[in-house]
Amino acid sequence: MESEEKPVKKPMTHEERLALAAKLDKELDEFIEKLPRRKYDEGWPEDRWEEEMEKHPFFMTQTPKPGQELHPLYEGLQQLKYDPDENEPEELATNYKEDGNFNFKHKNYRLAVVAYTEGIKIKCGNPEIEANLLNNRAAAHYFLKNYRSSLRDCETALRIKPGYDKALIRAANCCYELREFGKAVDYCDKILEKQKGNTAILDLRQESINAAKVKERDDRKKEAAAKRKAKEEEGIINEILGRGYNIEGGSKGHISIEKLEPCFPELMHNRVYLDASMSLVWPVVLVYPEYKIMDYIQQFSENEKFSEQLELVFEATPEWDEEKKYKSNNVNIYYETPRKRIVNVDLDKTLGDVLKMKEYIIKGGTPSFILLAKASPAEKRFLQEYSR
Amino acid sequence: MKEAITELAKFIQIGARLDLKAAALENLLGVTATEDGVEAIIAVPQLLVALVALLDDTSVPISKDASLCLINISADEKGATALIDLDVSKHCPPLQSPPLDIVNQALKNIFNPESRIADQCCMVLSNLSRPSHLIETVIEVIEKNDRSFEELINVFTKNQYNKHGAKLHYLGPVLSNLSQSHRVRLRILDKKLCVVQRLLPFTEYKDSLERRGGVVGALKNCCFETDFHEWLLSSEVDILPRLLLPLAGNEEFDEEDNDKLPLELQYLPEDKTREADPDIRCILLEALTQLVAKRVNREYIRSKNTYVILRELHKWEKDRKALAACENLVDILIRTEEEIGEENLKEVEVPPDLQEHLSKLDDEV
Repeated sequence: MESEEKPVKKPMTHEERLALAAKLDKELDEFIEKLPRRKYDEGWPEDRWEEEMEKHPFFMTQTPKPGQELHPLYEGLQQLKYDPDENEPEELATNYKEDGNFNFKHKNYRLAVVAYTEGIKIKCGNPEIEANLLNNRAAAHYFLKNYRSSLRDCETALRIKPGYDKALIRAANCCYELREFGKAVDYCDKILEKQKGNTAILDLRQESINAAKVKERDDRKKEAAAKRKAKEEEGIINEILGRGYNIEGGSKGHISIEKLEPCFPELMHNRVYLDASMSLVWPVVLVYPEYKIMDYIQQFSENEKFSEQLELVFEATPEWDEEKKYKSNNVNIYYETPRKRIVNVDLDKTLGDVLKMKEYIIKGGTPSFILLAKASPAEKRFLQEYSR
Repeated sequence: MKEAITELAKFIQIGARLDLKAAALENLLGVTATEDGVEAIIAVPQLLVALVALLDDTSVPISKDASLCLINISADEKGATALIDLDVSKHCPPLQSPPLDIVNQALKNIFNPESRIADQCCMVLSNLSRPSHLIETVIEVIEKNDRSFEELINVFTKNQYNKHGAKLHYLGPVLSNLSQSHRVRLRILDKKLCVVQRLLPFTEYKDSLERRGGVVGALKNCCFETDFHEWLLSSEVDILPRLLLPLAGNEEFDEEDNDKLPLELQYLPEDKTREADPDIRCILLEALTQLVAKRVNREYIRSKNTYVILRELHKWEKDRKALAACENLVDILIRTEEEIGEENLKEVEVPPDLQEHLSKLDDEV
């Protein structure tokens, strides 16, 4: 075989190089000229360019609202930012933290909490970042007035980074808002160990101490009032037991105060009490079977006679008294015994005299009596029921 | 005795054999129990230095025994003086480096949360600060130390500062003693820090007479700083209720009276008891008497219904000195300002013949 002589490549001369460049330029121009001409219409329409710009992730000035259609670029960027495969945990956590901070700056505290929570969930392992996320979430919670959640985040942050000043300060404030003043003072003291002259903390400490004083005073006042009330109730019960009244639901040696609560809403505030002369003053209900009416006496002292009370009751003619026959000198008072007997009350007797009767039972903390006009047909009918 | 004691000195050097050290210390402890024994010991400065050095001994029983010896020695005024004046480098036993001086050794243990002899060191310091001629020196040493009074009070008032059960109650008397100095009072009354406020809760501290008495004593001394009265009575400190609370019993007042009282004294429960120690009651009354020197503060204290508390105290009080102090204070509170006529009771000039007459009456009490 004949060996071919390989042509030896001669190096280009300067002129040849220039000529080649010019030729290539010309070919490129011709190529571009030959391309189809079209108007560029992939840009933003002239009349709506601001609107379109606002939607573009690079140029938007506000965070997209939920439900808003998102630019495809946005989704891409999100993926880049949040994809765990694309990001190291620390980077990811920091990204979420920055998101949270952005929301925080714009006072979107709930969104900030969400962002920080995502960052915390990653457990990136870097204590600085983790403590930071917790502290920032604590701050967001604080502005949302979720003081307990805020305190919890502060405490967690402090476990990771003990002595974390910002967390300590926020914890102190949370405790104050939660009215846990002792804990607030403790946190203040921890801060003051390192920042002795911190006036804000000194003030918070003193305010917590003062607020605690008020709280303790209020507790003691409540306690004193409760004790007084209990003593008063005990006194009443002892007097009732001593007089031997029969209370429904009570036993020989014991009555609970609930059994003395008036069962009628109209007499709600008139539970029996002991007045200055050590007499029991009762709420009393008067029943008028003729007209199916009930009348209430708020305060009937056991030392008062029935006749005296009736004067007051019938000072004015009651409106339901059609025949105008119910008068203080024209009524009979009765009570019903457990054995379904009817007993007439002597108007000259006091309330106490009647309550003492073995067969008189005080029900619902309110002695009750039946009133009928003397010798009226209604009275006759009523009494007949009992003689059967 | 001196020869025997000098012999003992050899065995209690820090490098000595443990069993010998222990036995020698035990012996020495017995010697420190008597006044003669203490006198003999302080005649041998090397022994004192050895004891001070043994506070650093790694064996806890040894350092404890050494501290107990020092407590006994310092309880004696001559012993205390000897310890304060002790030149640790000059009299250092051979083969060991000189320890810190006694005050610094004590402070070191007090500030060390791991120390097992912190309480004992408090007692030593308490003894050393009692003789009035030693107070200034002790204060100077403490000030040169890189820890401040404020830090000392911090350690005193912190809950469970010492990790081995030391309560540091005897810092109470230390403070009470040292607050006799104006310089120390100014440290306690530092308006920019939180110092005196930390002491206030302890006026009702039931678990230690020393702590409670020490705090009350320190507070009383602070009340001699007339310039600070308004601040002490203001809400920034609010010393009045803390001084009155131990003097109040469980007597019930009606709502009107209660509402005028300071918050801490309103609606006191049935089980409230008064301060049991009459001396402390006296000191509290003396502190209050200081605070009524100026008219504006008198009016404030009157407005807080202080009178009813003192009235009930007077009915209950049996101790003569306390009764007198109570009457004195009530007297000032009851009188109207026209009757008193003076803006500042401390500036009243008592004519010399009256002074003589009054001091004669005082002596009779």
